[in-house]
Amino acid sequence: MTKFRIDRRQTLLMGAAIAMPAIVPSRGRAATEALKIGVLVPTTGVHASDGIRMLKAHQLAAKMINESGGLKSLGGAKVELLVTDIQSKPEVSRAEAERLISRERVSALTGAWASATTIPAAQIADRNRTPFMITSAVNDALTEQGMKYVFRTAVKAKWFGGYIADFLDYQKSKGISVGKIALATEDGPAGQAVRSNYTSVMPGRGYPILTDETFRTGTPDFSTIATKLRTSGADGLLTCAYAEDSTVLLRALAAQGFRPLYVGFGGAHVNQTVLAAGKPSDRTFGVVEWSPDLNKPASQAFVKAFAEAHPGETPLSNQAQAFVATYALALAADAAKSTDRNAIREALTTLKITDGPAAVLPAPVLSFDEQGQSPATCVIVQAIEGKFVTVWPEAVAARPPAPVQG
Amino acid sequence: MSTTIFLQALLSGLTNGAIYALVAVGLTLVFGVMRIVNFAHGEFLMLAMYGGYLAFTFLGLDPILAVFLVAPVLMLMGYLLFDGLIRPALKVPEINQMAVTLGLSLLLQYLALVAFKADNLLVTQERSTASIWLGPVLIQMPQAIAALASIILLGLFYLVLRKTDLGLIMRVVSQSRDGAALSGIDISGTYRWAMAIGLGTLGIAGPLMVSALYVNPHVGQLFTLKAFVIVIVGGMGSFGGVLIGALLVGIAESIAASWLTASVAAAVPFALLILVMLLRPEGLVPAGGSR
Repeated sequence: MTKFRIDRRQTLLMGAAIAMPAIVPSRGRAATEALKIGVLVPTTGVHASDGIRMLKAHQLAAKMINESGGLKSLGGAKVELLVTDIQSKPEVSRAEAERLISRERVSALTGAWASATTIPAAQIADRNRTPFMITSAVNDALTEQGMKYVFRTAVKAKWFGGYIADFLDYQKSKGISVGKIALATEDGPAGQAVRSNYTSVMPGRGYPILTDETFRTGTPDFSTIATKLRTSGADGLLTCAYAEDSTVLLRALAAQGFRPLYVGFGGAHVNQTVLAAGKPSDRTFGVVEWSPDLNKPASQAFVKAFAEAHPGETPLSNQAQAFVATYALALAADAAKSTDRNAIREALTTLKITDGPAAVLPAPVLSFDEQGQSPATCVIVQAIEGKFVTVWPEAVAARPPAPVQG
Repeated sequence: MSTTIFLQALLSGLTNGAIYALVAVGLTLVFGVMRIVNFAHGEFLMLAMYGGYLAFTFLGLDPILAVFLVAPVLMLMGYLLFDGLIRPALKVPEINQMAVTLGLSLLLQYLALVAFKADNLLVTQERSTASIWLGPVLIQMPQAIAALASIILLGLFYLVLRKTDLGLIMRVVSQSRDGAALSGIDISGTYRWAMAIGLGTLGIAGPLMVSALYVNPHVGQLFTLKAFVIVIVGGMGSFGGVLIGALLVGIAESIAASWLTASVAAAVPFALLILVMLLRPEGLVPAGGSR
């Protein structure tokens, strides 16, 4: 029979365990508990560049909320972000959502950049009755399947086509006629949603689609696709591609001397990387959910605060969405006077933001319908002399669109 | 699919294939001579691409000139890598050797993330959008330069292997290490050279490829798997095999992408791999030789 010996090492460990509560002060005894929000972002992997940007926006929102007194109805409770790296992988996003919900007991989640990484996390959150505020994923199904705990500040993929058609109509009214469209989309969930939207909307609005090409993100060569687009006879090109792929595509198009009216999709196009490609990206348009030169006081305040926190940096469209997402969760908790998940969910369904620091996005009201979708709108920006400038709608434009050639 | 598009796909496939050959030749050299599977191969390409970017941005060096700076640096890395990591790893079971290079791959990616941040970086020149037209089809200039460099390098490799003593020694060691040792050949020295040259080729590929593509800490991952497929399809340790394997993969991928959807086309190189493994497991142009 083995003797149970307690040796010196075990005695020391036991002693430390007993003494620990006396040495380390216990937290959470104060009357104000923090609002714990889980933030799912890719800080490594193929989307790291975007994820790191998104994180800065989430952090700025938390900082601004806390510095202005926190959640007043909860005795000044602070917003505490529990940030996790989803490594740009859907399975990691899923696992991390699970962990934040069950181990860290967050009150809500937000994130997770791409549609591919957002879908699994949102499903987990919904199943576990934890509010999930989507920041940037555009895949339509996310707010169409009756997931009661899923909310979205981003625009749905199926709405973009309508906004682009409105813009092309506007161009036509100014004498710039685009008759036939070609599409080039990446084949992940975001690209598929966008492609599905464009193919169903554009022909009905008078813009027939002559060819529609798909590619994998990370493709090193776009010459064949560029040839297909050029030989299709289209004079307009609508794309959905991540920034690095856009640069390769734009260069391939320029190498063939093909300069269609190019409308890139969202923050993936309206991006420093794309501008760095130089002449090939000049005069291209982007359809985005927000632009830093937007004429709204809360928007200007956001840009200013961001520049102070990160000198020399201007936020991109998706970052405004992340900022607003964080604020929306905090404002809901404040309205609900609770950090309880269900209370926050209830409060989100009746939230109506028309002013204050969270009124950053172009739509007049931030609210969430029965499917959790906000009535988000788009603007069209154009790359002019190395910067993206808002050119449509006229009400918020900084200047009219510049010609594509010349 | 029209003739123009088919011809363009074919031409792009050949060009890409030549570039893949440039990436894969170092891998097959290291495997052929040392029987080491270097999972970090793509990451050294990534480092070479950063080298090309830095040389362009901070020294104003054209990527073609940067090659003369980056290739020796990569050769030195190969030299140090052998003595520092690979030589100790040769003593452990093969599965551990794979774990070592796999671990190195991850380590390099994350070190690069810390050093360079996640942003995609570009080398933008006039040449970036120039092209060479061949009738109705074209090759973009940066890709053409990389493909040409690849062909020249492979030609040089052929000459070195067939005509020089070093080449002879490498062939001997890859055919039979024990036999070579018994003949008095310095195995460690040969291995060191193999590693240095194997990584040095990436020093040529890197700056040329960054002008055609972009660089971020994970860009090597786009090529590692493809390089393995090429090396296995061509025949591990075989140089003729690398070129044939690379051209096959390049063309198959390109034509499939222009004919089928992107997702299906991405599976084509692997379908090719399975086919070759079933029909001709030693690869298309086997290097031959025993241990």
